[in-house]
Amino acid sequence: MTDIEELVRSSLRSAPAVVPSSSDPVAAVSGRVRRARALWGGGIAAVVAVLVAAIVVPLSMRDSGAGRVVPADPSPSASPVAVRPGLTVWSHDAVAVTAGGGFLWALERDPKANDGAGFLVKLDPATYRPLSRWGVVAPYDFMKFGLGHVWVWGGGDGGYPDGELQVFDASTNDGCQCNTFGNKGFGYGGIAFLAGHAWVTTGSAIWEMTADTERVVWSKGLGNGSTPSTVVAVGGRLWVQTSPTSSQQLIPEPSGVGARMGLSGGVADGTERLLAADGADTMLVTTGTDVEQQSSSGEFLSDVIFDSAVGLAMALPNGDVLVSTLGSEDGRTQPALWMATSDAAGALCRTCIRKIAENVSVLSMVANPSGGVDFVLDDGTAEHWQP
Amino acid sequence: MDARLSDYVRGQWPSLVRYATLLCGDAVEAEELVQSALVRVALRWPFVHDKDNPDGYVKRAIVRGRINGWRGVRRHETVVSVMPDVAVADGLAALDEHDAIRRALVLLPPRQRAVLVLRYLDDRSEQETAAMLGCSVGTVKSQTHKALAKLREIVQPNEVLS
Repeated sequence: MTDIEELVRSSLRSAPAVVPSSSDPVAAVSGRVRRARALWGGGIAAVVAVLVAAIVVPLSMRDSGAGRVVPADPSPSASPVAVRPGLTVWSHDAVAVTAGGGFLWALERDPKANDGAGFLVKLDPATYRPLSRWGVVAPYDFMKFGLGHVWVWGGGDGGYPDGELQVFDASTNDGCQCNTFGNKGFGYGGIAFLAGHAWVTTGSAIWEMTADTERVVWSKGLGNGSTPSTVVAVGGRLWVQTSPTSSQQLIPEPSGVGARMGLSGGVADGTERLLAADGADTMLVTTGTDVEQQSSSGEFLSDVIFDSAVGLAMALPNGDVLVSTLGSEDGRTQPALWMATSDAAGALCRTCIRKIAENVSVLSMVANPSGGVDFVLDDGTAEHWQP
Repeated sequence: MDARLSDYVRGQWPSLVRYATLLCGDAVEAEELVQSALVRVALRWPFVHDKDNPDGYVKRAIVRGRINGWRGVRRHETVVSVMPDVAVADGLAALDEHDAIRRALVLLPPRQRAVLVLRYLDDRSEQETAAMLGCSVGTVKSQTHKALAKLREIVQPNEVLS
């Protein structure tokens, strides 16, 4: 070792201690984790309960030998268990849940895997019987159903700096039928479906992808410094959250970048409404059908204030909105699940929000095609709730 | 947050902030860097293999966060306008020399600084350092060489010139 190397070594090792300013790092980190779980990689992730025609799929599967398809387990991995009135637990290893093609789709960790791998499981939405199961590689955190495919994505963080997008053909069970898109150094923010294509935010750009070949056909940068997260399709437009303080409208044409909304906390789709959070993240805003006009005027259809930041919002078929809040970082308010009722015009009632459950950190929620709502909590528990 | 991770954070917080300070040269930015890294580790906790000793995983997240300019707020680095004096050979001077090196580290690009911290503070091999940084061993070698040359130039300018 040279003198300079020795000097560097001794200098680094003799560096004085640093007195951190934060006296309770656990509380600070925990609070940010709760927020990140909801906002990172999805903003306000909302799911509209659209019941599409069920795709007829054979219930038995053949292993293609590709190593990624796992034969369906003929019996449920765990019988649903009622834990409190109206709630039934159906998994303890879940990461996310979505619905599509008449089925429920769950992302689950493989407790035996030492490389973080897991499964995408297709479930009977009424009985939770696993119908088929695919292997997924880490990282996987979020998923959405669209264009007959299940889109699974994750990464872009310190543990997995490279984003991973895995696409599964929901109608074909006899092979891998998946494509994987890595994006070195960038995570994926969100996915929306419009005009027969998938729109994927990644890095500081948005990709247009086809469903048939799952390839990128168009890519557009959204400006230096933008970190697009949520993207939703509402009113025939794409709405992209390009920064924590604004949502940008992007018409699906290469030159069609339009209005900006001065809202933070992500955007979410609710049929023809747009759901978004305000600057303090505690207010949920809904727009009417004329999203563009309301976004430019700033006069929204309704707004509802919660006791802590809004994490997820999901529009139910009757117009009501389920909202999960994150709780405050100082612990004065706990994460909770709320129901906000809607009038015929889609405005949410300010004074009649109802707390459904307290001390629940919801990572993912979806309207079950068979009725009710399914949740995944941050401890891996997946529950069904029948209002 | 998992109890083991909470215990780890409580016990290692000052040490992690010190580590990050050496990487970025600023204690305030270091805290943000460590918090961001811990958030990412907490989100990935189910996938962390050694849950009883996540030090390697956390430090990797800190280093990568620093290099990739992860979403945390990046403050402008403080440039040391006046180079430290060259040390003379006595005990006090040795302290100054160490201080001069640490101050000079701030002038290095993030990747070069990370290479030095990983190689000389953590005692990682070139292969391990490459794996941590997500680059080739050749890059580690060249970055180390450039970083040391730059430090030598800063703290021992006459020697370099001669």
